[in-house]
Amino acid sequence: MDITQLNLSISWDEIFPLLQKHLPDSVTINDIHCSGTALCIVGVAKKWDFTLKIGTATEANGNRIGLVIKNVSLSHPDDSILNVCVWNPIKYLGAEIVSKANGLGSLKWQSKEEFVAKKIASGNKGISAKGNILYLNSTTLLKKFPLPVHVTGAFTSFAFTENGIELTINER
Amino acid sequence: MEINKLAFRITPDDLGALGDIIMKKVAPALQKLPATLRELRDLQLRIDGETLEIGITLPEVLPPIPETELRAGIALAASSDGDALLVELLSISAWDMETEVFNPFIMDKIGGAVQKYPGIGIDDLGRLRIDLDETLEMLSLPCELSVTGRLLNVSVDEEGIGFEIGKKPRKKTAANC
Repeated sequence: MDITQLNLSISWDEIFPLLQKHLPDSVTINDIHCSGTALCIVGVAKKWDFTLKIGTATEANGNRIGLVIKNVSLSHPDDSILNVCVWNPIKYLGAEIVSKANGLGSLKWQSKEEFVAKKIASGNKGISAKGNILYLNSTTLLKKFPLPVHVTGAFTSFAFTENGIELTINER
Repeated sequence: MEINKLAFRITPDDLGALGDIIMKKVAPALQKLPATLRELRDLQLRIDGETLEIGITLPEVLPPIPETELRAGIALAASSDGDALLVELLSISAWDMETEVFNPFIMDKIGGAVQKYPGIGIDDLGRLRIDLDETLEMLSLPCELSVTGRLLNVSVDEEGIGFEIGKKPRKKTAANC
């Protein structure tokens, strides 16, 4: 017997502890909610209060899910650090040396969104980043979130809803 | 985690095992048949285009009528309320009997037999009506799924028998109307 399609809803209550389990100790999530079709994650990372707004973009072949980091906002209880942040954006907001042609490094500014995408992807198996889009490998995701049926298909839809995540997996 | 929709397919390779399950299920009913018919065996399920064909070996009923294979072509459908699987007898052949005479006779016999079984009955159009719970139990889903939904669709093609089960719509109440 083959499972040809599975559409299911996973509530935020179920996702919350699982997400926290896969985060480093320095990051705490305080709230997850949906604002329209975007997901808002509110938490604290190394004393920085952050809010991430994430939208989805499913890949056509269903092998991976693209999560677009739409917006990142940061605040710190200590205002002096905010000043440092303004003067030292490389450290706090992200920038990278992209080439060293002629022995000189040139800086390419990257957005906070790109910086965060890269940070999340680094060291996380099955997650990669391209610009401000995070790509989650479907197989890895299914291993991290075991389903009540053995499904080896492709993700054909993935959406954030008020109650949680709704996704469809289809037979390949 | 809530299953909103589940679609699965019983492949032609699974049909042998399903035939065995059905035979075990109907074994007690066979004991109530006339002695000569209790030896029904070798239930085979085959797919012929968009029709499911059931073949079963009939014993030698009377000396002039030899052991033979009864073949029945059946169509499967979901009931309009999604609560049951409908089984319609399209054709039947054995001993070269006239279909027009034989079909109502067989359905009448089946109807009489199944009425004793909870979850199985005959609808107004003479189709066998098997409750979804009963159907799923018979199919023995290979997963720890508790499907309490409604049958959205059943299809038969060369790839197998496809089932689509969806979540039961919530009953409207004054609060959410």
